[in-house]
Amino acid sequence: MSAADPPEAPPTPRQQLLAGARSTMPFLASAIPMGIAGGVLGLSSGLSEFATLGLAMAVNSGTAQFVGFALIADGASWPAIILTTLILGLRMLLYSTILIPYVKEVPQRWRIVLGFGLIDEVFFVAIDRLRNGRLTHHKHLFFLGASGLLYVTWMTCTVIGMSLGSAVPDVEKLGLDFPVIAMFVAMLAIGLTNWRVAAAIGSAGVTVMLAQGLPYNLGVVLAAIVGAVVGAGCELATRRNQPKASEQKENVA
Amino acid sequence: MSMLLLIIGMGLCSFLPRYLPLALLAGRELPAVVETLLKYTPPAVLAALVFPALLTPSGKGIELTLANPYLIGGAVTFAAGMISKRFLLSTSIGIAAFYLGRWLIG
Repeated sequence: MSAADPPEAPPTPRQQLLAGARSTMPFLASAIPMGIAGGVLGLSSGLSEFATLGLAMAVNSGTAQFVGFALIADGASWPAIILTTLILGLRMLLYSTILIPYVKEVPQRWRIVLGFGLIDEVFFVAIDRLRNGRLTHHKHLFFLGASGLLYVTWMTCTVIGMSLGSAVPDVEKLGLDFPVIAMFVAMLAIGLTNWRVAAAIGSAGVTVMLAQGLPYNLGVVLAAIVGAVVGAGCELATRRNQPKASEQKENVA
Repeated sequence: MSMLLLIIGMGLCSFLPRYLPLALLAGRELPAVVETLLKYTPPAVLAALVFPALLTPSGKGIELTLANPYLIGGAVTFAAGMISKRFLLSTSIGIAAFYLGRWLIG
């Protein structure tokens, strides 16, 4: 049932690149307005056009970019800004760690590309396919397609936003931030296949709501850890009560 | 000049957490406990991102009411996802519900 029977020829490099791009295409619905908003926000925070685009290109993270603009506008010290960026990156540390078992055959220089492009959307579309055994060939090209499409779109939209200036209406007022939230909710629902996952989701949700007072989105990291520990704890507890042969691979879907 | 250095610094702080585990540990067999933990991390992260976005969309406390279109859209997306298990379908239905809710609430 799982990885052993390849029914068709493996995808060509080109097909895999396109498959990657196709996988993140729905996220453009949010990336386009958010990218434009970022361009507007950069200039209105007092950054030059060079700095606005440069920062967007360097961090490749909407959250780090928006928070960075706000801190620079507030006149925060550079150690505070750098530290905040690092803390925001903790979630990405989790993503990268989860990918470790899957990137063995990816050449070292491609791992730079993979790491640079590893944002929420890319991680979630890729991990789903990696765990289902649907992404086995030319993984690096799938990642390049998935993150390249979003990166190029985001930077283009940043430039558009800068040229539009303050003519752009507020993204949140129009609710343009909702599509990406809906996609995350759909991923949660589709991945919710047993009560252990439900326990992980519930405990992470409660934790993040209780931890909302914490600065720098630390609540998200804390909640991720609590949810993972609860889910894993449930699994280890049930595994102990059963003969362990069948349990191991059950959860991949 | 100092802005350039700041941008480079921020870029590194954003890049290194995503890259270093891939560079240093790739292909390493992780301990079974760690693997089990990592299996439940994606849904936990998603939940941590989604709950505040749906429950406190304006950042002014929990809005557990029908006048919160984020909550309505999120609930519809979730139900559609549980029933259909199809990504684009449930996302589209949820986004439609969100905008319908916004329009009705005014």
